[in-house]
Amino acid sequence: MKYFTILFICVCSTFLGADAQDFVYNFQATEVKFLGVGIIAIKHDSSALAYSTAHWRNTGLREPAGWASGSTMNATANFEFTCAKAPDSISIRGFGNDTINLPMRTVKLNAGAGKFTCVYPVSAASKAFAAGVVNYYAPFNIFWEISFDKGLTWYKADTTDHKIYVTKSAPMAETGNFKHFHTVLELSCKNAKGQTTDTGIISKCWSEFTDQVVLNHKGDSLFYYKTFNTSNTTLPLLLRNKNAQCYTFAQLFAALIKIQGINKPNNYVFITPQTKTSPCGNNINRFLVKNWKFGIKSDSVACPSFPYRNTYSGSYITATGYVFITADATDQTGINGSCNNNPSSFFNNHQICKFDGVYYDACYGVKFNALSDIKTTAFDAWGVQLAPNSYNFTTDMSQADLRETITTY
Amino acid sequence: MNTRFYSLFCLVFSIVLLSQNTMAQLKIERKIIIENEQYYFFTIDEETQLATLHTGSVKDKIINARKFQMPIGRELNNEFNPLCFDINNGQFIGINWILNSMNSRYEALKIITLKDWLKPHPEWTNEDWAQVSFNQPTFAPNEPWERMLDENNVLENCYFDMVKTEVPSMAICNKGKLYYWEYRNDKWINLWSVFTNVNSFSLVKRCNTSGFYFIGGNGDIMIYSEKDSMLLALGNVFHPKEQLRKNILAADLANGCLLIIDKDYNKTYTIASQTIVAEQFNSLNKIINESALKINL
Repeated sequence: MKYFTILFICVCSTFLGADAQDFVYNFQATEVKFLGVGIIAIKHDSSALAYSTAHWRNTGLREPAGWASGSTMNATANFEFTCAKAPDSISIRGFGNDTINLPMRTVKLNAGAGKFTCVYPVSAASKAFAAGVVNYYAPFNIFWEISFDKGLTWYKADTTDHKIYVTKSAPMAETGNFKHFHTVLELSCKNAKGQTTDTGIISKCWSEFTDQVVLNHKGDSLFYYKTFNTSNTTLPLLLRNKNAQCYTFAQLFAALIKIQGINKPNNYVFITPQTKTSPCGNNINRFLVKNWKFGIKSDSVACPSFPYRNTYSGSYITATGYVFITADATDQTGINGSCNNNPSSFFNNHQICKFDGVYYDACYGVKFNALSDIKTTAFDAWGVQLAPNSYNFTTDMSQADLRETITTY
Repeated sequence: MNTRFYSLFCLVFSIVLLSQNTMAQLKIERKIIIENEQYYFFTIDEETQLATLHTGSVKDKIINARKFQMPIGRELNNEFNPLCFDINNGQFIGINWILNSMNSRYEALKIITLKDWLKPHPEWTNEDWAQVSFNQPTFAPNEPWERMLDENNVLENCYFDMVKTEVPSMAICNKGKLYYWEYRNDKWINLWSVFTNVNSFSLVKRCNTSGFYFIGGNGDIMIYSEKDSMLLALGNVFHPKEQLRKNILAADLANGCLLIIDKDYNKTYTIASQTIVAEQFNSLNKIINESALKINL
């Protein structure tokens, strides 16, 4: 909490009706609220509920605010003022970043128990956030000043610090699991700061994923399969539990774009093996993401095209890995996923994003120009279930291809 | 005395609050099926995607339903497509549409004997239940889904439903095209497809004759006309007495309705979802008599 107390000495004989003398004042902000047309109702990651309407309190509260570019911030603030003899009214103004300032307002002082209070009324900032540009203020400081002579002389008072997000356009409306989450605004505006084009925003937002370290607004890791058996498959569950499946990272990347008001339909791709091939009597329905080690071929006679066989019983995917009874294929440390160097790697399907013809796999932070590139770059094997409690595998990736099903997130 | 009264008041108040909470949470999936004087319906957990079976005698209060976790469920993303299922001779037949990287949509058509799942498994985590659901027997490959994707792999207003009468039947629509399939002799047969503006729907067997009709999420009832090769909206399908009740309940029905499929008496009803929620202290029989609308088809 920043508790800014300024001591200043002033000569204010005019309104105190006394000889010139020194006075010590204590003037501090107690609460700041932002509002105005287009303010974004930012949601908590943990609950999907909106933040409270206050954005700053001297008790330590710090809550983010956001607007679409071109909007004008409005603010109101409460102050406390201690002084043996106070004037009836004072003038207040605030200076923000990028000369986005709050104009002088003259307000009455209200007497209280040993102190005076006053309210800086709802006032529009001197200028709007620059139109068409993503911005990220961390912090956006407001340097408050007060005057006892209606603006002729100004004294530095308190400073309040804020987190402000500015999106290129008004965010897309909340639907289903897409909410205006704090982390979505944080990652999107921080990465795309200064961008003015859709392609620039997509490119910069993508950079959040390329180092395989995706953090939430608090700096906590968002894990891709921290536990192998996580069943979290929605963005709210990723943000709340910080551990989730591939669906959620694709949704997060798409959300970073949507929050900027960029409408890109058909952006969410579900990939799974095509069912056209039926080796040894059943359809290919699994794939192994690198890296797996292959040993003996237990089924080289029974199913030569899918000779590696793993067997299991019951729930073979535990929190810490795969528990097979017998295993010709064994999981190795794999391709890095978000905050995890050995995520789950045995799947029926996977989700990625598609923008302007390019496939973005946000789980691993890699891009593909063609669907067919995925199997050759990222997969070690195809799998098929030929009998209950077992899977057979082949490392011959030419035996199948992926099918994509496209929806709009 | 005052203390005892206060304690009693608090206890009663807590019970009332708890009951209201339980009632408010009851979001029934698509329909209630009656078979052998027992009713069956499902609710879905909004995090795990797993289904809970609620069952009991049609003569008992709904609030007293026995509840069982089931190895089945549906996804929470995208468009809202309620759980697709039927109950036939004590067997669940339906579509396990849990969103999970290990759940195959091609193998999602499941058949489960309900009595096998009446024993609780407290040792299983939600993740275990999900894995078990993927491993349930598949009664047929999901060819209707695959063939629809062959035509158009971009999903938009994609909905589907399945029922089991003489044979399993499945209807699926995407981007305004509705396909109807039946599974005969171990093979899916696409009997017809038609362009229509239907969105969400349920597939319902006709009571008075063979064939099926479609009841949309908005309550519209449609039937496929082979002669015209199109889906026709039907007008009044209610008895005059029922029509009066429908008018009275119009606002409630508009907020969401459920189907009640009575296989014992070969009758189908529609009822406002909120009526079931509000009337849980009554039996299903009483609720049907007082608040359901019989569909004469």
